[in-house]
Amino acid sequence: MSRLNYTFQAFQKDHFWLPVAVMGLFMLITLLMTGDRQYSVVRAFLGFTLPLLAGGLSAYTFLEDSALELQFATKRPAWKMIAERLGLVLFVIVFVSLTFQLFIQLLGVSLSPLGNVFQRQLVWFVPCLTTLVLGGAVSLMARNSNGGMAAVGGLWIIQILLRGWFAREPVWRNVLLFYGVMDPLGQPRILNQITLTVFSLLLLVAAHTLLKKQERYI
Amino acid sequence: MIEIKNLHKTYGSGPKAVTALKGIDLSIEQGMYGLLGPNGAGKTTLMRILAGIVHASAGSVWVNGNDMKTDQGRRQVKAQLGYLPQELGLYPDLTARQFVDYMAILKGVDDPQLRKKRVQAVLEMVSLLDVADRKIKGYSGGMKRRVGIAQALVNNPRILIVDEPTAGLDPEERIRFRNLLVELAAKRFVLLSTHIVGDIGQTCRNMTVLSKGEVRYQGNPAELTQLAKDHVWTITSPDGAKPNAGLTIVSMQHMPEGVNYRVVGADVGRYPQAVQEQPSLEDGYVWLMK
Amino acid sequence: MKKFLGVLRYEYSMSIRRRSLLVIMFLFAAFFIYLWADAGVQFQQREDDITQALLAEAAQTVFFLNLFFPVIVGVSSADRAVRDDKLGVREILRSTGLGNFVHVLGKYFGVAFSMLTVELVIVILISTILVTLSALPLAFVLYSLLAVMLISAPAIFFVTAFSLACPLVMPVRVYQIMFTGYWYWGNYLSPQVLPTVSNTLLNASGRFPMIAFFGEKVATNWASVSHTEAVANILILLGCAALALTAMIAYLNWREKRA
Ligand SMILES: Nc1ncnc2c1ncn2[C@@H]1O[C@H](COP(=O)(O)OP(=O)(O)OP(=O)(O)O)[C@@H](O)[C@H]1O
Ligand SMILES: [Mg+2]
Repeated sequence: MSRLNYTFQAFQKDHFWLPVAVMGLFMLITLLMTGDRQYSVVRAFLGFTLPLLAGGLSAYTFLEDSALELQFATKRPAWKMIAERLGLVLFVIVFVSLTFQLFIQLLGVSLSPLGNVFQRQLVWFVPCLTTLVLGGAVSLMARNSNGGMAAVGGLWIIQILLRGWFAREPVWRNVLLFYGVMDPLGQPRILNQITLTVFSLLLLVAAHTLLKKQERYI
Repeated sequence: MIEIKNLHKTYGSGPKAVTALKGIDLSIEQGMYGLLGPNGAGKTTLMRILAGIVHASAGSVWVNGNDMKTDQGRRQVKAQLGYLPQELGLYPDLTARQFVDYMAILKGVDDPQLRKKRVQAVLEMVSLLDVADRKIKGYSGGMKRRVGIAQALVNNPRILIVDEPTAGLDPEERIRFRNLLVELAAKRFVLLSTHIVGDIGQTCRNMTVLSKGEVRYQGNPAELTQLAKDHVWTITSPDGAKPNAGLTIVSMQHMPEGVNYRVVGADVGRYPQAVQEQPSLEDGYVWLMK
Repeated sequence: MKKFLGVLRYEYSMSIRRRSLLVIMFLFAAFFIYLWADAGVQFQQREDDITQALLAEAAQTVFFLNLFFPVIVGVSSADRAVRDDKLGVREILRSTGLGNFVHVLGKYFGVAFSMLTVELVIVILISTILVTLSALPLAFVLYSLLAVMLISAPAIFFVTAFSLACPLVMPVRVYQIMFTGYWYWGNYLSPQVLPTVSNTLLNASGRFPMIAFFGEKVATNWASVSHTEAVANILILLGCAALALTAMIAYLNWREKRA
């Protein structure tokens, strides 16, 4: 536990306060809205904003480490480092999401259009997982955090702007990050979520292989 | 026992490839071992390979019976390693105590009691105790270097690899650290690279001089010093004219009677006033590199 | 002037020589070409005024590229200024007597031109492909370049200025994430969903110049735009960029005095 605490303190403080601040902003907007528009703000936060935060933060989680060479000289295996770094980002995202949902419940906005309690978690968790691993993996591939962020940002903006086109195409909709939140009760969402999860796992394997090549990063 | 055979390392590929090591053969025994060589000779590359961070392109490296080609072997070596990189990065937002504690955790010193004791001990060794609870961002360059030394020692490593550890230390601290390394070397492998030739002469039993990725000299410092025997001179030049003809000036001093040049070279026939001197290790190094 | 050009040339080459970012940009561009090919180009029906049709099509191509390209521009230029601090170059530069004004401007134009170069290459690529595939007149390539200058270039100059200035006062990643979110919120989101600036002259998507100068409306319900409004839109974007750069220079000067 103290190890995560140090990891966190050492170089990832904005990994915590940025998602929390954005959550606060969305809470405020929800309070200012009424009726149906409240629900669409909730959707915008969980389904659209969280994946961007997850991907953006994970793009910076490996290489923006000033003591990377020291970290590499310890016996800790690569998968542990990945679990620690990505896990920390994911933990904050999960925390923020659950807090926000609790807040929404207290406000009396119904989330049932997003499915049952379990289904509505998948709506944000799966795309967050995908962008999370994508940001980390592309950063390692490019040996540059900016590269990971550019990939996540570019993908996010293209998909959000062309989400209608993606959702209509039977093949492309399976890689649409936002399909789950756009069609939370439809059948195609299941294949979409499976595809995104499989992609995430593949990217995770790629990230592991890449991180083991330590000399690329020092 | 560290056993290096025909070690090659090439960075990159194609026309931009740089070959940093070209067939190194070394065997290093327990104790203090020195690495010397001009900038770009390949010292850091060699140390990173021994630390398991960089992989060899060809050849074999065995450290204490562990094959550095395998994941398993590298992990075994890292478990007993203390490493101080040449370009040291720290976390500015942590205090020195937190930083060293963090590194101890990463190195697998899991028992909190033991860890606390070790952290305290190494901070004392590098005389940082009185500032240990201040954030690293407020430290001077030399103090940061000492934090680096402390983290290298915190897991009580059997293998200690330090890349230019004394750069930026004040003279007192440098001497203290030099002595500390010698003490540690009684039961450990200590591999030291430095540009301060004198430090090696006073501490290492064995040493290697690398140049352009190849071993230029291997042996003990005394023999290297002896290489320059009969080749070190002092030439006093009344008008201050620099001696040339293939002589390397190692130092110069302005005196009332002219300029005293200490030179290393084969032939001082053109300077009848030349006086022969006892060689130092530095002279030996200069003679070797000529 | 010599110093300015020196900085500009250096920043330009440093910025454009980032292989990984180029690869990412061209991957996204390739996806766009795929979309274009998939959607099919339909000129044949509008043969009454071919020039107008070509202009509209060129504008639309650039407008669509502008959906995502500035995001990558903003993300990839965000590290250009803070980098000097991190690598300690700023200290060296200060000792050479290079003023912040010259340095910031040289850096700004170097980075902006490098991004513009990449975009021009992409647009030439796309329009040449379109010309070949649908047997369009070669003038289409020229119209596309014109569209870049009027629709996309103001956005790039706008975005680059903020990407250099903002990361000096906040972590790069925070800026990049906020910026990506902003690009959607401030340019494309309907004010009916959330309060936004997308319907004001601060819109940087290139929508105003596209409608006013090229007569192209991507959606039929978009309002008409006068030439004056479009010019005002471009001037406001450039003005904001100038403000951001002025603030950046002032901040750097202030920081040096305090140090
Ligand atoms: N990551 C790298 N990528 C490409 N080339 C490298 C890399 N690291 C080192 N080199 C090259 O390898 C050669 C050896 O470098 P190395 O750092 O090992 O030298 P060194 O002996 O430690 O020098 P110094 O005394 O300056 O520290 C140099 O030519 C250097 O340019
Ligand atoms: Mg070195």
